[in-house]
Amino acid sequence: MIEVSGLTKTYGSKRAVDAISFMAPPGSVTGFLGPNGAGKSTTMRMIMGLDRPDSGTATIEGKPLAAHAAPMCVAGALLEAKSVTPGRTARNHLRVLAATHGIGRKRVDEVIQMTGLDTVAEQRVKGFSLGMGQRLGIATAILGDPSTLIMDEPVNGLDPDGVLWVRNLARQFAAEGRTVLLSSHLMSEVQLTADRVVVIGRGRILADASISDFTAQAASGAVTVRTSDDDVFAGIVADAGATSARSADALVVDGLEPPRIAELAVHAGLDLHELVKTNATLEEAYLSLTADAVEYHATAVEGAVR
Amino acid sequence: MSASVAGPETRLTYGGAVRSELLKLTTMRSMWWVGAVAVALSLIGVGTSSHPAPAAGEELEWTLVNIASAIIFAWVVLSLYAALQATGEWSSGMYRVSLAVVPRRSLWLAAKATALGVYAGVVSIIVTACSTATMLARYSGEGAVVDLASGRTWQVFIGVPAVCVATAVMAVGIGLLVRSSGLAVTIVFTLLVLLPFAGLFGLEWLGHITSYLPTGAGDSVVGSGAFGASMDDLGVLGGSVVMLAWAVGACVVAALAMSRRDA
Repeated sequence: MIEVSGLTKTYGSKRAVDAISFMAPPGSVTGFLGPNGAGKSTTMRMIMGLDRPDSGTATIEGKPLAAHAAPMCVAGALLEAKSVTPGRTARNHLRVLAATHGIGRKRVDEVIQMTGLDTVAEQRVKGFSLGMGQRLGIATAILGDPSTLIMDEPVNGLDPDGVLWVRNLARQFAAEGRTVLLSSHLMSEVQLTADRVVVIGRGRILADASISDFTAQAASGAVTVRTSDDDVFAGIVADAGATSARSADALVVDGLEPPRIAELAVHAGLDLHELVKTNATLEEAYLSLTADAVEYHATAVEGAVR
Repeated sequence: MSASVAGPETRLTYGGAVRSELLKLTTMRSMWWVGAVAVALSLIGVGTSSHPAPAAGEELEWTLVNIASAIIFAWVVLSLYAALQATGEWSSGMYRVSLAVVPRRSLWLAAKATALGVYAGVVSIIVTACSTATMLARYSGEGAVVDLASGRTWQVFIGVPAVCVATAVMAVGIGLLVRSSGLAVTIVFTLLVLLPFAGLFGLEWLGHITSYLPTGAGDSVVGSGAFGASMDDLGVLGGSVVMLAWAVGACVVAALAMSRRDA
């Protein structure tokens, strides 16, 4: 379990992380989301003991990482791909790290195979592509078979096969009762992988909820309805005090819940072909929440295809 | 937990951290090149120099001074290499991974200093052995001799590697303190090569200070002028204390800095 309490970090005059508190529980994947410069990587570095917080604490399994007898078995992290000495081979890179905890060659071979690095294990890392570097970073993170896995943008540069592998790895770790904290800008990926999300913006926590609760908060409440006579039903909906609009071959009703809509249709003797409450995607929920917390805005590209 | 990781013996130890740092060295080609260059430079130095024949009765001292003097190139090369190995963690970004698996920073520093100290010690022993063999083979006609029963012989045979080890450890401390390859090389080179020349330019007060630099202290340990002439002889004990202070002092300052700042 990761517990962050009142964590604050300032660089010069900029407060990168502002008294944040959250928890990543075991047995689940926690997505850590936020715009560029929001403080995600800084927080992850503080959890791993790389950056010193100005105040507050970050613990893993109840203690700071450095206080554990076998830190590598407690937490593994992918914080930046290719944080390796370029002249060393992938296998030797892993051997170097394994030696600190007396982990043998068998485990090194195991993670090389798990991460699909078999064919390049004897090559120097300087020739690695971004994807291969990312796989080596993940191999490094799981080398100690840790109870907590922290990954910053783990699918960057990975092919679809690699993305699926990372998703399955995170899900498998969670299924085994371990803690997984991962950040990504790919909302669709987080929606597929994570159970819950912590959203950070301008150094502060904006949301900390399960994926379903988080997206429900952002849902518009509109309901898509298709009946045997949508024109008639539009009038019935208006009489009931709600609004509706035509969308393709359906009505989008705002202001009534699905059970009430169903009652109205049945009462009017209309057949009900479709009744779906529109849910927001994680991306929509995230964008609506962080609209004011984006620090680095891009301008629209002139002539861009809409 | 994977069966290949589980076990009470799977834990972070000083020995494990040292093995890891030694593996960092042996898995890079640069270690072998630096070792070979250090030995070659020293052998060229001792094998090609013209050594005026010693006065009668001074053959042993003459031989030992020449053996000790051969280390100078290797000493500078090994020290710069140690500093670069320390700063290389930052230039490559490897420090993020190193400190994630060994988050106790003073332990990591101690392991790195130990590994590079061992490396410097091994190379300097090889250099001293090769220099001794070269002197005895090439200059036997001039009276080159080594007396293993003499304490003076062992002062050189032990003193030369000991000074190299201490200086390499100091260079690691400097490297981890400044984290910049250019700055670390400049500082180490200035300490070992540039400052000792200060005494030659009439700055007598600075000349006395240089006796307390690694060059002067090393010279006192070995008693041969091997590491550069110094104005004051601190004696073996005094020189050893000063060398130790340089090595330990640099590492303690680096450890304090590392404990307070971001990695």
